[in-house]
Amino acid sequence: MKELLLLSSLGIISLIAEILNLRKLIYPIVILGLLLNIGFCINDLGKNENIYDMLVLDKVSLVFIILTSFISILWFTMARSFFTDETNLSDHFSLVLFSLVGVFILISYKHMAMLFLGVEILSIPVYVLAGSNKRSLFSNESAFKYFLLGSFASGFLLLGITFVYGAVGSFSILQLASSSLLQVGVSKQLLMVGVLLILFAMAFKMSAVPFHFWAPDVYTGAPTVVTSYMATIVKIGAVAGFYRLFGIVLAFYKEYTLVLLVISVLTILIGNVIAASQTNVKRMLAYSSIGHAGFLILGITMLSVSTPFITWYYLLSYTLSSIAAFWVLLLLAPQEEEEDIAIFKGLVKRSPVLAFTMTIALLSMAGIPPLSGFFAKYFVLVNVIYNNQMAIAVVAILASLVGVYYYFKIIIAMFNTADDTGPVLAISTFHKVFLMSLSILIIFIGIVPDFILRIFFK
Amino acid sequence: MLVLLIVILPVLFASLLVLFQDKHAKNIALLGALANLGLGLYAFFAFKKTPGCSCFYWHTDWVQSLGADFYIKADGINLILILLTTLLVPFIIQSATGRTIQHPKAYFGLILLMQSALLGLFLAKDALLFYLFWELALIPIYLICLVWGGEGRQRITFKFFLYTLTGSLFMLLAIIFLWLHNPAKNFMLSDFYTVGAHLPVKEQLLVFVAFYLAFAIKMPIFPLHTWQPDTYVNAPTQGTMLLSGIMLKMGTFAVVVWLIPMVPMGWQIASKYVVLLSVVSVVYGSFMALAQKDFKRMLAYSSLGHVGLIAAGIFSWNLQGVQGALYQMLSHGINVVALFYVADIILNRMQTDKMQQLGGIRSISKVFSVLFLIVLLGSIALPLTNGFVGEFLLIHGVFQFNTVSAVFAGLTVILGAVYMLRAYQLMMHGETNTLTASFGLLTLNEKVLLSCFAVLIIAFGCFPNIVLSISEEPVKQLLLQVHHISNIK
Repeated sequence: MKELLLLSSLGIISLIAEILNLRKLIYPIVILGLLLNIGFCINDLGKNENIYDMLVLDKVSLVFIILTSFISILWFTMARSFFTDETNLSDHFSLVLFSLVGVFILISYKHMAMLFLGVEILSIPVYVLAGSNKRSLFSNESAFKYFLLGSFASGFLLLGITFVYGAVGSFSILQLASSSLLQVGVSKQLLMVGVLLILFAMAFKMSAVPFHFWAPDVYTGAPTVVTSYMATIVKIGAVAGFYRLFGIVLAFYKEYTLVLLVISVLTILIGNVIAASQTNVKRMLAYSSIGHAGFLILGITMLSVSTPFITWYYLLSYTLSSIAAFWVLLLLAPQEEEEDIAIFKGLVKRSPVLAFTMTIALLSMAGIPPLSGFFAKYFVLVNVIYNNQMAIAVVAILASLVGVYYYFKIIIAMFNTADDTGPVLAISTFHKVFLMSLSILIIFIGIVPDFILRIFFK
Repeated sequence: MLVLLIVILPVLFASLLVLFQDKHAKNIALLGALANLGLGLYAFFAFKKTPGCSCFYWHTDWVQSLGADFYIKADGINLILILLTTLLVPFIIQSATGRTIQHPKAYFGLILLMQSALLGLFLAKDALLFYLFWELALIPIYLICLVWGGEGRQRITFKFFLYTLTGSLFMLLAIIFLWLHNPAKNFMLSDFYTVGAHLPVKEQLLVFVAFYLAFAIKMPIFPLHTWQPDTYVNAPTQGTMLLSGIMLKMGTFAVVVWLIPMVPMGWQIASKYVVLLSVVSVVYGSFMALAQKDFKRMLAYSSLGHVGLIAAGIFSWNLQGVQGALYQMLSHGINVVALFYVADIILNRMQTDKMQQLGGIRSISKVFSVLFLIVLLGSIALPLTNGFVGEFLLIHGVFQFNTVSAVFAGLTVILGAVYMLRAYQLMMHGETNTLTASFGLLTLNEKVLLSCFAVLIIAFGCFPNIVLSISEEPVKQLLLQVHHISNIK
């Protein structure tokens, strides 16, 4: 409970800080608050707090909240330098903090009303943030598109929840498990359709195929800082929320395994294949994030005891690499509009630190050992092969080879020093230190993947 | 502890490079490589005296949740490869003397990193660790070729990278597959031997194919070789040396230790075809080499032929074949690095390696022509040179497997002599023309390096037993293990 209160109050503090003329203090306060949040979570790890049968803070939700808070700290540290219009700082921060509350709820809900609330609290601030670059037409388009399509998804979600309530007679997701035994007649069909509608809505939020069409436009149009937020923390929320519900659904209703398999394989394939033909880096990262969503869904579909850890580790690895990649992109192209791969040309000469970090981040996303992305994919593949889905494993591997192709387009550009490449970039020590530590972290959790496992999951 | 030190020392020196200025980078790297050579030699000779010493293995937990261990262990087979790697890297680093190299710290750092990965790969006794080192070796060489390579390097190096990565991903699938069938749920090599041998024949064949893809691409074997000639020609000299001298031995070594003993039945069914492919490689590589006009490209194709013979010997799976293959890995490494060094000397002075345009270098630099000749004779397997021992044993081994194959495999010796001597004749003999008139004498460094190669070539040709004796017992054991299982079924 105190974690939820802490996050909400951080948002409110950040909102009124401007009025109280404490703008300079917002950043330290937010970071301290998030650190405190991690502390609370670690302290509560053994307990199983049940909040009015609405939310439950069990081990799984707590480790996901720790992950979210940690990535948020990194995100705030990065974002602070790139909000050009200083007057809006507190608005931005409070919007992000409020949407973090949504992530928190999505991670820990056990009541389907909370699922809906979580999705909405998460999404509405992001709609606003996507359009925060008021003068850019693309930003406006992005916000409008996201909002319009997001509302449809919310409609599906509500309809699905209603159907499930009609069939089961309860909003509790645990009720789904116990009612799997009495599957007869109309209520069974109602239940199946209801869950399917919820699945569509969640797939939309995770940008899974065939509900992914919004993602490239929204990612490209939104300011890069906001895109990085959508690609990382929003994704954690969506995937964790998906796992909460479908971890139960998959265990008791085998019918959905096939549906999810199809969705995940299509998502992996289409995300990676279309990304290969992109020349805009933000768009490419958008499609690549679709591909990663596919791997995440595949990991959850192959439900096993280790699924929470697999999902958690994949998210950690993916979000760390994404933050690093977006950070480099932000430093390289602070003005919007020019995000062609060409801007990376000769980066190794212009700024070795940026090139190094970007290489590590991309190699990790491509799944090259010994970086963290390798084990993330490895854990998923082991489960896939364990379930005798050899064909799917081969498809996933071929798709990630396509991934290697487009990630390497950037790497090759960075190491291309043939012609004159432009002036040396002056990067402040602050950014250098953080980027280097991010790279080292990505390598470290890749070399000893179960170091973290031993801390949080044992 | 000793083996751990051997693996880690190059990385330590690579990170040490950061502290020094550009002009010292090469010397520090050389120091590290020489120190490691000392350790490698010590390990090699100490192993003969006390093979049971606890310094020859290092075992600690790595990824507990998967049952993967950090387990490296020296034995009679991989010590030959350790000797090869530690011996060649100092030469490779020193061969950069007198050449201008951009960003030397990064360059030599990557070479050392590569060395660590290769040593770890040869020593690994845990499949996941093996896979990790396998991939880890790829990144430095990719960057070396990408940044310091020649014309059109982006496309060529990427092709190389994608090829090898594709192969290794199939290997990963096979490793996961074996792990799932392993009741102990670990990646230990010895357990994998038992698990693999007890799989149904059809599954063994699948595992065989998956591993074979990875290893055949690395060697390379026809028809998976198309990345090789361009990459060899295009890479910087040191990159080519690493690729041809050490990296292709990853594939051949892995076949001996990680492929055939793991799935004996798979080998038994597939052996006919893979020996055939290897022999095709030999013939194809030799004829292609014959048709080349550039010296470096000719060497690339000749390497394809030689490695084809090594593979044919291994897949024949008898004592002569495997022993010959191990010995030839060592010899071929030394010879090919020496030849690429010769190519580098010529290219550096003449800016071309078109053999038709050169000629008459002999009358300008006598020392160079003598040393080049010794290196060349080693490569065409003249008796008393290191090439002879290996190729003789290999052809003997293939002969026992299949006479026709042996006849064709023997072509490598004949054709090798033809194209090598033709190259020598074109470049060294004849009239000095306006281009070669400016050849100039060898520098001291070039003389010393080439002489060292010449000494090594003759020494290993005269005393093969130093090396062959160390691997005989473990090879016999592996042979016995495989034949035992394939006889039962």
